[in-house]
Amino acid sequence: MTDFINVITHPGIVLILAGAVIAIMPKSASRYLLPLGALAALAALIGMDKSISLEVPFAGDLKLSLFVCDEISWFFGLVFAIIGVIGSVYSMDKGRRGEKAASAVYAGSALMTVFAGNMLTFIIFWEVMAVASIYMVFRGNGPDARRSSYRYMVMHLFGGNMLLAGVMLLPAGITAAVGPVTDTDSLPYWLMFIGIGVNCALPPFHTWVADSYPQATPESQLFMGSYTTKVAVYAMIRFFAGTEWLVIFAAVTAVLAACMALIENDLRKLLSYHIVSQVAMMVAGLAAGGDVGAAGAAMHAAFNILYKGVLLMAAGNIFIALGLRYITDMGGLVRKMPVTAVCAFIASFAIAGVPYFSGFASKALIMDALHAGGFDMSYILVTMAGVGTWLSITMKINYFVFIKKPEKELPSSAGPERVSVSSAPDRESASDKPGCVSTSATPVRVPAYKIFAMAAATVLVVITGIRPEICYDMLSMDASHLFAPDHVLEYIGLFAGATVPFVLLRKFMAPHEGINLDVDRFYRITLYRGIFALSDVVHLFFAKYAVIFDNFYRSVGDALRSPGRVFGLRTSDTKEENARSIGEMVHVLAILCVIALITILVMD
Amino acid sequence: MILLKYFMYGILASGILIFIAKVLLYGIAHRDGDYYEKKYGELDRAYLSGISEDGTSVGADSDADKDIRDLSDIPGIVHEDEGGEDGD
Repeated sequence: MTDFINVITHPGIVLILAGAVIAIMPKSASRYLLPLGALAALAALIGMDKSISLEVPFAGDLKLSLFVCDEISWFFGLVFAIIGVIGSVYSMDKGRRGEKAASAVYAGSALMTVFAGNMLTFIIFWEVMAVASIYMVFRGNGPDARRSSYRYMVMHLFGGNMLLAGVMLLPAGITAAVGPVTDTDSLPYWLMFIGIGVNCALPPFHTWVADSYPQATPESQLFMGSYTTKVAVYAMIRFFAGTEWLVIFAAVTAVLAACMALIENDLRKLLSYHIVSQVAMMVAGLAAGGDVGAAGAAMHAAFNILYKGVLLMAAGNIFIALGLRYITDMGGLVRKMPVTAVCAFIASFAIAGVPYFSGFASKALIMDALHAGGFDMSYILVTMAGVGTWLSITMKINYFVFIKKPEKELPSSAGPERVSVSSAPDRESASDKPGCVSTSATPVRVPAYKIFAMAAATVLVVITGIRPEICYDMLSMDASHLFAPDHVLEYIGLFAGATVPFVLLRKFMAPHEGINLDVDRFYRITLYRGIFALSDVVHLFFAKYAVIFDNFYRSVGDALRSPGRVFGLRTSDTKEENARSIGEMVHVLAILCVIALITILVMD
Repeated sequence: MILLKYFMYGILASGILIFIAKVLLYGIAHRDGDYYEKKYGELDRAYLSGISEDGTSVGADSDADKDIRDLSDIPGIVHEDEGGEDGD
């Protein structure tokens, strides 16, 4: 009985159950159920006995290990639960029930993953996260989102399968405990690394972040920017901490992603590139090894969730209020959206790592780990990535979006943001319209709950910046040297110096209309042509033997027609088409099973 | 002294990054907004329809390819746009 109560009060289960309830409840109720579910999950987490180990039977001798807690997992869980509350308040729009349900399941799965005690539990909820997030991208704005969700799905199915294959090949298989993979020359190690690397947005698999996140709705982007990559960082800490070769790779990634952000014109895509850059900094820290590196990565992930959340909410508010996503269309928004501007201003200082802002405290641990490990070049590169963040977010966004006079006329009827629930717009009728990505969108006012959520996250950013020892204590780290005068002066000097070229070259720094290609250009084209070529081969094969296959389909389909109706496999009314479609399905399944059997026999 | 030293580091780092981003990366990666449409749009549409805009077949030029595109006389092949209950 105690175990049952512990299971249903597990914060992840609470959120997943909330998602299930949201999916079946009326739309009007769903807008309040998500915040309630998130609050219940946060309360459940705080009330959870950290010393318990929770296992439930799964199948045969297999067990799901639902709750194993230490400092790192507790810290990640706490931040996930907090941003879940903030994100759910930000998502209190009318309608979009499916997206809300998916958000709850997604956040719940992230919590389940960080508290997973064995690989079986870890993989199951890792995949649930992927499925929920695919749906969230799919429900974004217009046909671009649907295309992007397909690419997102391909990428994450690839990553998930790599991880699963790697785990299956481990000596203990899926019953292995969540812990370091020590055999660095083995196939499982590399398969697992690729699988987690995809979610961690490591090159060349980083492009899904910038491709899919801007296509999701602002609410979904807030959730997605907070969980997928951060759960992957958690996994990296668990499995690959101390992987020294990864340090320089991650440091270079951090610099290049910041440079991509520097030339990006799409505000939400710019922030997505910064997710890549910041996650790479975390990976550099954890790869440097030691408790300091792991704690630095964990703390940077936590703080990043908060200040990046504020920036994503600010970008979302601009998108909602004015229908704008390109920086070239923006300017002077500090007068129209002062609260959003102030919050973005604070968060932009935090993300760059300016002293007395939260990013400074977490990045200091990463820099300490790099310094202690003797990774001098990586130390310089991560410092440069910080400067790149200063240029592309603190300077570029604040200047071109909020301060500089707009070059194009802003949507004329856009009023100032207001903190009034009564003024909350029905987003279904305005900014949710497919393709609502340009100035042609109807300007609306930002709802009060969105302003409140953004302001609450900003308060947390300020508190963790001024009092970082709260988080340092949670991870048993010493914060006494953090605000030493020399250390603070170094960063002030660095950022002051970095400002000079930006100010002198500010006209040159303006973003340009157009698109910036990334490395996915190569495999997208290859896949594009490859799939059509494969399609032609299959088509030719079936065309040549169509009569034979057609008869096969009919005969098999006739035999299986009843199950087909039960499962609603075909919407067509004709018996003949029903038979053929079932036959096709059985045929494909038969081929797959034969391939699987042959593979198994060969491997035995 | 530390302030000045790091001020100079800041200028140097910023200058290098701006050069990498605005000169090198921009030169390599930046394209017109309709880049994909220009480069692959016609091909995409042609593949989806099976026939290019000028009326010629698309894809491989072999006779076999023409067979793929013209399946109307093969029993059992139903064309979606015909929408009929019986495609034969």
